[in-house]
Amino acid sequence: YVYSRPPPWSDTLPTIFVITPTYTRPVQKAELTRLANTFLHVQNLHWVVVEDSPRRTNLVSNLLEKAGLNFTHLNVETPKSLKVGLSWIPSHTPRGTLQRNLGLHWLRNSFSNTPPPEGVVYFADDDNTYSLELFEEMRYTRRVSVWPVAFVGGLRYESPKVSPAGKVVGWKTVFDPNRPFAIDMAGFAISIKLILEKPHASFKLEGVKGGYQETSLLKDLVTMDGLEPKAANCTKVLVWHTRTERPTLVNEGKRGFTDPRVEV
Amino acid sequence: MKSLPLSRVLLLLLPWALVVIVVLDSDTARAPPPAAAPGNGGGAPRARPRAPPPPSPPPIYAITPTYSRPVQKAELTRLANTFRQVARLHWILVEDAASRSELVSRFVAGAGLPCTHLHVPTPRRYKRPGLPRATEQRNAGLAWLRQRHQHLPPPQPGVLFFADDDNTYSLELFHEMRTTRKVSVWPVGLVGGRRYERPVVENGKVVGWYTGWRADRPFAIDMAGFAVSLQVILSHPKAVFKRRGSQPGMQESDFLKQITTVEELEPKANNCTKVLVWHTRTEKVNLANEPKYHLDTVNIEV
Repeated sequence: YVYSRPPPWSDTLPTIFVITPTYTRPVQKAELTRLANTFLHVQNLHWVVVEDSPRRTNLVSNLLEKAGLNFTHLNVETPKSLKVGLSWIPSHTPRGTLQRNLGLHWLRNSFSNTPPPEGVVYFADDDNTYSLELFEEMRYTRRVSVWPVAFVGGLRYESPKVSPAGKVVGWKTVFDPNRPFAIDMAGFAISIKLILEKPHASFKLEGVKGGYQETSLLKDLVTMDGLEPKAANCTKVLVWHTRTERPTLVNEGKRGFTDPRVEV
Repeated sequence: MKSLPLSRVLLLLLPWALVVIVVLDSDTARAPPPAAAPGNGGGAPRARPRAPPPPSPPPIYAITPTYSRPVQKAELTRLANTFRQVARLHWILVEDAASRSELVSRFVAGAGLPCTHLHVPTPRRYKRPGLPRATEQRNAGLAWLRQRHQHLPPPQPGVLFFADDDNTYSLELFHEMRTTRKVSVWPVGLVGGRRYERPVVENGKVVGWYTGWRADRPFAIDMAGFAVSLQVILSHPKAVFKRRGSQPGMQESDFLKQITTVEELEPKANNCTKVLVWHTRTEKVNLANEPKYHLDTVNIEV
């Protein structure tokens, strides 16, 4: 079996560090597989996969080994107290926070003594859908770039509001458009330079209202008028906040019917 | 001796230079051509002939029925991202529609892999819950393949499979299915109410079905669990997905029994012990906040 390879690494192209928090559940391998199939097209992409688990699992380790991508495999377990959530509304429970922060921490550590490459950091959840064009849009981010995201906030898409002069002046959302950054995790990328310049900027865990996770990071990095709109001044949708149905495993029964050694 | 002027020296050397050049040139011309006929007889040792280039792999045809709904473009995008990694894959996209939609037409134009864009609407009476779906679209894909190959001599190389637009495919699956001689089968993840379903294999032959639903079907397998060689499709011109007399959940079985037998099936994926395809389903999108009347000033495709 010949494994696929990404395009050869280029010394002149900015690197895209993609931080993906992930957790064990039946669809995990499928999600990571189709993500890998997308990332294999993107030149100079480094995938940072952070498992929400006490140990790195074999499933993810093997998948990353075989995928052919440049990767880093990390793990940090979300304590149970946080998993239950700060709010009874499931959609407002900040998830993936510790994992994303660990990804940022790894990045800062990796380049504490060596000059960092030109590039960006992007937070890519494992169930979203990404077009290849998106990565080329984000590649040349100077500070923080933004673009529309489909299927968030109860809309076909949410988008930054861009003035004719090409500056972000607000947010086209129905849900709380007055948030400092009314934007989904999938809707922005941050230059590595900025991440390293502001070593204390990270996602907050405590006291973060639903929908404010992104703000908790971005407010320490940039102001609204410093944002760079991409995707044709935020008129094209290049990323979709898809969610995968939980498969009904009714026929597994109490003790599990299928052979647990067959990995799914 | 009186030293010769430079021009004289050059004039003397020139013919010799020309001779050397001619000799060198004829030497190169005599180098053996690539892939020289074997058994050329003895004689002067020649450079080893270069091996002939490997034959191109048999094409894989993916027949994908698709229909308009908010996540359609996203599904097609991530499917294309997978298919573009596969050598010689020809995508046959069949819309459940009376005419080609702009969205899919635009998508196909920029898809980045060979694509055939068809459409056929499902008759209203077949759109009830519980009835099999995408029958007309899969049959349209089969019809196109048959029509395209009708005047070509057998055996035609190639393998086809039915790729629903919300499933997930590993690249290894395509490697497995490409060697299909007649009909090959493999496990499918997250289907039938189980982590996976699979054909049961003994001594390299399928002897039964490990499935969560009606294991008594002749072929108790999901649409994502098999591939058929193109030649089998061409040799069975009447094999189609049935509407009349079809029971829910019997589509695959009714189709496969027209073209093969259980004994003939070729088990793939390590004797059907590896899951290389998952029957994922995408959640319906929450559009509760979409305004009744257009609020946005631009019309953005999603």
